[in-house]
Amino acid sequence: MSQKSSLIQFPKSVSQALAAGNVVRGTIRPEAFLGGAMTIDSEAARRAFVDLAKSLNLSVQEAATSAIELATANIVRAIQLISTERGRDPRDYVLVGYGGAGPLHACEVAESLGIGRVLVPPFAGVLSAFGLLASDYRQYDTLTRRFQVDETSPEVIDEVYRELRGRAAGRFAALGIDEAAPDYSLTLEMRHVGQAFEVAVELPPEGLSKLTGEELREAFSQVHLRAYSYPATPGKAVEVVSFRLGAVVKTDRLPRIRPQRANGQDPRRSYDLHLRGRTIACVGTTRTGLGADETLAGPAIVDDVSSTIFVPEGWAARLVAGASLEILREDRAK
Amino acid sequence: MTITASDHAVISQSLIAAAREMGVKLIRSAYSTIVRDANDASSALLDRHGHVVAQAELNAMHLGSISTAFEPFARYYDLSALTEDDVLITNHPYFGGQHLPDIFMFSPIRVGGELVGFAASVAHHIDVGGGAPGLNMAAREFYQEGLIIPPVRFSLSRDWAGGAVERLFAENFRVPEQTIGDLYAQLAGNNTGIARVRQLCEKYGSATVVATMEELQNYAERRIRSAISEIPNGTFDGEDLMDSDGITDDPVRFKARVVIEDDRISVDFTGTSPQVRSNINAPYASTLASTMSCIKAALTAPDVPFNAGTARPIEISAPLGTILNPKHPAPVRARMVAGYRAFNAVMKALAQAAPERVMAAGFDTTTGPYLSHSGAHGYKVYHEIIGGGYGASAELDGCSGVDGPMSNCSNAPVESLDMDFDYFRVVGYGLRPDSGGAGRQRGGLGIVRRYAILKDGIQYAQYGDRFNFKPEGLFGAAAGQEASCVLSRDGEDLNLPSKTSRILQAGDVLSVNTGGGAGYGPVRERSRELVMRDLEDGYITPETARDVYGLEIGSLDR
Repeated sequence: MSQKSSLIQFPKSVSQALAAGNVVRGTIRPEAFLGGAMTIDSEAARRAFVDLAKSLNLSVQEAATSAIELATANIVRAIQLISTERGRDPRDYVLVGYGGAGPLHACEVAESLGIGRVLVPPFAGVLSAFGLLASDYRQYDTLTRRFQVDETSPEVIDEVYRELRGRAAGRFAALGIDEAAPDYSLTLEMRHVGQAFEVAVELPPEGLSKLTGEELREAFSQVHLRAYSYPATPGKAVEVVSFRLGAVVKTDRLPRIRPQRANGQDPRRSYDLHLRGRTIACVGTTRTGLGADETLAGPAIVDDVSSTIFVPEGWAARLVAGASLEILREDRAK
Repeated sequence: MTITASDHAVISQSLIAAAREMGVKLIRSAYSTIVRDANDASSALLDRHGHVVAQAELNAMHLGSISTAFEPFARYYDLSALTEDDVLITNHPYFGGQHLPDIFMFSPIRVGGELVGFAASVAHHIDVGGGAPGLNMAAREFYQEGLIIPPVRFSLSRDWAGGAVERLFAENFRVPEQTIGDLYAQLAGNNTGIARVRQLCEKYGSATVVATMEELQNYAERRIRSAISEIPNGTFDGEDLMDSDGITDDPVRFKARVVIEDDRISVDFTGTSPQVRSNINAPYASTLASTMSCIKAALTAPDVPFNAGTARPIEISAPLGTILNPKHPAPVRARMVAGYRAFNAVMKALAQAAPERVMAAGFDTTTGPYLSHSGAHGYKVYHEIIGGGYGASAELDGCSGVDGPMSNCSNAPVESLDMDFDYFRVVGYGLRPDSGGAGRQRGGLGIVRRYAILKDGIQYAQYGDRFNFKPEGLFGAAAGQEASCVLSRDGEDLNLPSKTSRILQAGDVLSVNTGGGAGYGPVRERSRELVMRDLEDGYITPETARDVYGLEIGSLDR
């Protein structure tokens, strides 16, 4: 099946603009998009940048690479918000690229952040869908019941747990999910009387019948100590505010995706990459065209059915665990 | 030593993130509504000399003055000999503190046997003893305002958790279950800061972290100098008024002379009224914080961190004996209002130097009612800060119904108050239409909050301002509406003054009406769309739309 995708003169969305930019740059090869199932009008991609380039006094190539650099900078900023600005050093992490465009930009983003290792899972472009199908069945339920902790509390807790468990079991049954018996977890939101915020105290469900008020207070004290660096204050009343139940039916089934079949031909070609201010030669291949022990040095483009992986200069890619692509900065490689 | 740009970025941001996390911990484990709901607290990390490196953006009145509160400790103690068992504590307004409810606690951070810095926290404690619960409007000396804690050190293992200091506080404070709990919350915040700095030192080495702490201050200094350089040199005067001191009817005058010279700025409050007998004097640390907050807010971008480096190109002087630098033992409990008028005076001066950068004067007053009940169970004390309207600025209307920029507190949710207090109920809460000063950009609206009193013998105390003098509009805009306070009893309405205390009875209804912010820019330049939207939202009445903004009557038919 072949479709002509129309990238019109003025891209209607950021993703179209970015796709157009990558086509102009050469990191998306029009004939290999979506494993060849969808062709791209590369002339339309160029046209998309003509007016912009003129108004900025740049060449089309410069305008396209600028758009990509801007997108990269925005992604870097977003990652900084959740890492650096929370006191987590991104250099301690591996960057995983997935989704249609993730592997296309991952190495450039990693470069800016000082991350030296990028991982692209198999079926990267459909990883979210794969994950959805592969997930365990999971539901959460909550119930508010506020009471002070004393010797009668275990009875109340047991009663609430049974109610929540019954609701969860009923919902699984109504949905026909019966592969396995559910695993239950129970969390109590607790605080000292007078505080406004609770801490989460997890209780093993199987031990509930033997729980005492004193043990409940001690469990709260441990959590309070971890959260606030001091334990519960002796003599100060403690209260339960609400309950949270988790119910999980595990599934061992993984969706099977029909793998790309290598057609025996060596798909390796040489292509032009139009980067900022220069054009360089770049190796292009497919994921199935990679040897099991091969290290592919950038600049290189690896076409996969659901995504395109760009390995820039200074990076090198190899298969790990038979299926994922690990891309290392050359100064980080073993 | 040179630090790589990446390491500097990660460590600096980690320090700022750690200061924020300390604040979150403090608030989450606190007991009194003023801390856990209204967020009247601050947290910071200091370098080994006691200079603020990073501070959580909670309460601006504490900005720039945490270093001031620490400074006496550097004189009294050999800082390098302090251990993790030591806590430094003070609330003394005449030793760099704010007012007695603000208790500062500093915890030393030691790594590998070396002092690396301090974790700092301050919270407004709902009652610290003194002549009346939480707020003693009759105080004429600060001795009557509560327990005075000079800059002292105590031992966690010996003096806390059942020890002498904890017991001393518990006996001197009216609601110790809350106040002692809040002090523990401050320690929880400090411990978080200690843990985060230790982690950074373990990963990057203490020397690098200490060097980054210094560089972060230098960076803030460079940024603010650069911002000041963009403003034209010159001398600019600003002035604002407080209604009165609450004892006489004379207005209190605040004058600021701002001199900009290249990358330096000086602010002189000479000409400001002398100190007063009532509790609205502002200790020097409050004057400092108000001035620096105004300069930073108006002239610098939001990404410029506020630390000790920011203060370096700013010189502030207030003559001793004025209301902005009172002499011991003048009472200072209600210092926030004077702080705001200093803020307003500086802003008015800056309005001449950099008109597009400033805000018009807002309601800029903390109206802080206290309702307390003493019963068989002991004391219950309610206190919160009620805000009003922000002043408008060149591009934006003033924000409605929020606390002013110096205090930045949240309101206490009505549900939370209903759960915790059985001697009053909130029976009205809303914005006041037409209270925002008209202008091309409209001032923010003030608030009405109404309390029904349910028991006899309720002690009520309040300080407020702008009942007489409205906040002035800028560049052709109108002033914001003034505030008022009304006690309804037995079918009669009694107008209360802005600074007052009395006993309330069951059946009384108290209405606190706060003021709006002033506008910015000529009134008739406000766009038709915005006037229509204000009308649709109920922010202005049809009469105001027609008479003030000139909207044609025909367009009011919908």
